[in-house]
Amino acid sequence: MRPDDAPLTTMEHQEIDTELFAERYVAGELAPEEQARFEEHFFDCAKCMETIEIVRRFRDDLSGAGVSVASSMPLRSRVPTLLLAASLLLAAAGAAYFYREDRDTRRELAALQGTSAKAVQHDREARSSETAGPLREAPLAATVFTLNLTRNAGSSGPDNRVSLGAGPHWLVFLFDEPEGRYSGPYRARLATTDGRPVGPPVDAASSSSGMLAASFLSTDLAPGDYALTVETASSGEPAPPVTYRFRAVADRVR
Amino acid sequence: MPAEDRRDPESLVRRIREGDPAAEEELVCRYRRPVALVLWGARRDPPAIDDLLQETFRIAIEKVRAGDLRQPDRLSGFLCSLARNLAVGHFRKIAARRITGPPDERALVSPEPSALENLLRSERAAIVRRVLSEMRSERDHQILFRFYLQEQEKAEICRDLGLTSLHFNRVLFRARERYRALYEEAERKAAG
Repeated sequence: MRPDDAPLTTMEHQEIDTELFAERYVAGELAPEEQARFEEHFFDCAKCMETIEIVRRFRDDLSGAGVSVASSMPLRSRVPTLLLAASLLLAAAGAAYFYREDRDTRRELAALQGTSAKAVQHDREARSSETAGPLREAPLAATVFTLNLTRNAGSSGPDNRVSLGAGPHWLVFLFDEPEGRYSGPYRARLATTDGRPVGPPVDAASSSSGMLAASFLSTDLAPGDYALTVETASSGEPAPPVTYRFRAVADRVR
Repeated sequence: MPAEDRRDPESLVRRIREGDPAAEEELVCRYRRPVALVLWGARRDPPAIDDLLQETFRIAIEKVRAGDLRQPDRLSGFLCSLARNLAVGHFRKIAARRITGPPDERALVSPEPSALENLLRSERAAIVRRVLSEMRSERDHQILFRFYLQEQEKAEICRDLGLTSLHFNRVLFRARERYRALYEEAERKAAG
């Protein structure tokens, strides 16, 4: 085997480092001819072989270390996720409260309210840094809706129904990640069916169910038909946007 | 024989042709790791890699013994191509069997990791968390997450985060080297 400091005939280490060959090899991103060239190089290069093995292990371990999307997002993007998580937990704890009125559940609920309040506080801070305008009161409750893709909306309108309910609360929409090579991040844009935007676009966060989630304030919506468009949030290879249509209704759907 | 001669691929090929079993063993020891990596690069299927690894060396030794390796100084290239071709052939066979033949019995094996694998995985996960905790910058976390887990393009990440290519490489290099050091330290502790 060639010693580490021996001259390289087919590939220079500077190029290997600059072009991240080891990382791209492990990710399966090298073009076939690049891959063949790199393989012939590392066959005789102990240093590159070791780097590939380290990168491979690190990548595997990173994915197994419970590193979530949320913990790797900047705080500004993380706030809606924190809110979503806290609100979902709050909603779940609230349901449990009605079924089992025991002390533990009450305690849990109180703790979750504290978590949610903290998230709201974060949200206020983030919003105040973005806009100088007055803050809106952020609600503590959330209702979760799963949106399905429907090809043709019949005369009765979109199949998806969303109850706006009473009082301000978060409307959390769950939907499938768009198919294709692109793996996020995504942004969700809500608009009326005649194209009027409803609030600013929000980040679509991964939820524990493997779906994407985006949350909007119920007070921003009036009864009517809406389109939630999910699109790529980065400027790389774009994935085609996916649009979910739903009808917001004032009362609970029977 | 001088040590340098023994490392020389031409000398290794000559010794195999002369029927030296130690030379065959040396071939396997010396090239096992890169051959396994090439097979992994092509298939990423650990059970298949073990089979293909054996097959690569069986064919290679037969060819060298028979004098079919015309350029002994190209031993590395020969092994590399052989491993790659076997992996591609295996992949095609599997794909054809999926379409026409009975189901692959490997598909029936539980994909769940064993208890030992789970234990090792949790230990390595702790190392990764330590590496991440030492990286104070949220941006550095994002780089690792987006590059290694979401497999986004370097150029795209740099553009989104306003980074230079050099900074990006430094973050990756630092994380990778820290991981290497911690991993080796953990291995040493486990061994000693």
